[in-house]
Amino acid sequence: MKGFLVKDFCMLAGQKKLFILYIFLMAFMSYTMGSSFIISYFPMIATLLAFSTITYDSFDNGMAFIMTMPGARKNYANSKYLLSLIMVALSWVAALVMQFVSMTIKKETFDTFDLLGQDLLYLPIFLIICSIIIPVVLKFGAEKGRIIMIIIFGIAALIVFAGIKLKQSNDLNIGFDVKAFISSIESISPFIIAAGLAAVALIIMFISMIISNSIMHKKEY
Amino acid sequence: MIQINDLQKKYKGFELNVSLTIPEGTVTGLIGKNGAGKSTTIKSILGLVKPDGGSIKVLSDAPGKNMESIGVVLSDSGFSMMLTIRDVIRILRASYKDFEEKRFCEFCSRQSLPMDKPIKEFSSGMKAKLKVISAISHNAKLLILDEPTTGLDVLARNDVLDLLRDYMAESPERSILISSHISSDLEGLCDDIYMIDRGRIIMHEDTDTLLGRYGILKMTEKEYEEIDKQYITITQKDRMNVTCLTNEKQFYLDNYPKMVIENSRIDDIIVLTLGGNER
Repeated sequence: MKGFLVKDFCMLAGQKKLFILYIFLMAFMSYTMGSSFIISYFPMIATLLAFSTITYDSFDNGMAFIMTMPGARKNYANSKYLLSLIMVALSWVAALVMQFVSMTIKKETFDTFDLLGQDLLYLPIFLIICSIIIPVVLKFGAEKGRIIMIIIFGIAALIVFAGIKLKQSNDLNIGFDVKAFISSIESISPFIIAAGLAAVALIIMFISMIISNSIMHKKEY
Repeated sequence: MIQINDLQKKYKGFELNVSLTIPEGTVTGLIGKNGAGKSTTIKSILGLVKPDGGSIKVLSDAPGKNMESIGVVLSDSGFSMMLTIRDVIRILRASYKDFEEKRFCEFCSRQSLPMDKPIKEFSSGMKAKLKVISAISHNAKLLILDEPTTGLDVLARNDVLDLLRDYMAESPERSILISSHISSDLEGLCDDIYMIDRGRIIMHEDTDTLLGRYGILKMTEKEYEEIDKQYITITQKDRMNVTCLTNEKQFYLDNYPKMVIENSRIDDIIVLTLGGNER
């Protein structure tokens, strides 16, 4: 497992220029764009980077050699989950720091507790996204994985968009009181929602890991 | 070290069915044309493909287990081209308990491999050397090498073969399985040779027998009609001459002193075996 992670970080470190650009972009965007934007955007870029290591592994038929390393069939898929977790966590913390710094510089008023609660919601969401995409990329390869990733992000954006629209509409009648439902969700502490979502995300991730490991056990190289 | 009984693997238009044994302390060569089944056999031993039938034991365990003790070179696969040797060191250190970093670095500097250049900028000789050095630097008991010398010039091939000879000289318990279609590489290295064609083992001999007892007989058609053919294994006829492979060169040297009898090289044996007609 450790060997695979070291390999992935070596490959990512090989793209230093991209990382430097990424950090500058983060700093710039956290200052100019809305603060909630970067907390969702940067972990997304980080997951894309994590998935890109699967693509690099398969270049030049590299998977055959990787699968001859100790414990490969057992640990390869798990190492990708761990890498995604590390990447999401690091980028989330970095985005959080930049968000606080930029809001302080801009002298915006905010409640640290509320902001942290809202930001925490993104962590389980990204775990769920990783849990869906990793088995797809392992099974079908990076190309199809990318298409599925675009579809997932598209659906997520549609849900958010629909949620905002629903909240704005006053006379919407779809069988139940949407406004009351949304305000009842809003009344729950974001920490509780985040904890609930985290539990769901962990279950999904666990199932996803079982699927990914079974894909790796069956695959031929 | 490796025991394969009746390994079967079917692909469209190709069927593999081989049995072979690699004992401790030996270098075994697997030779055959491209597409003969060498890589499929090796991938089955490594657990990269799942056999349709038969049994494989590698270091007394199933394929894909004990990979700490196995050094692997694959002809068409290796470390990512983005990495540098310094990265490879980090990866090997994290992957193998017995990784001998100092030795690895010594090998690299002896072969003039640059530490900080991405592998994609290496020549094919440098890439091949890095693969072999990586395989022999974690105290593996068994090396499994699929065409480690393909695409190399004579000097680079000799360097790679020297690395393998040194590896074997260090411990009597080590073994190597090496596949190649360049049989001259194997003559000076292997104790034992399996020849594979169209998914079947068509010959298995120890190298000394192959080079000492086998021979090439050249004669006219008329002479061919008259000789004792009991030790002729393969015959190839063209318009003017008949060329035969014998597994008892001495018999013909003793009984037909005027006959043209040449020492056989493995390449000759391959050409005759794969291109000739069995007697």
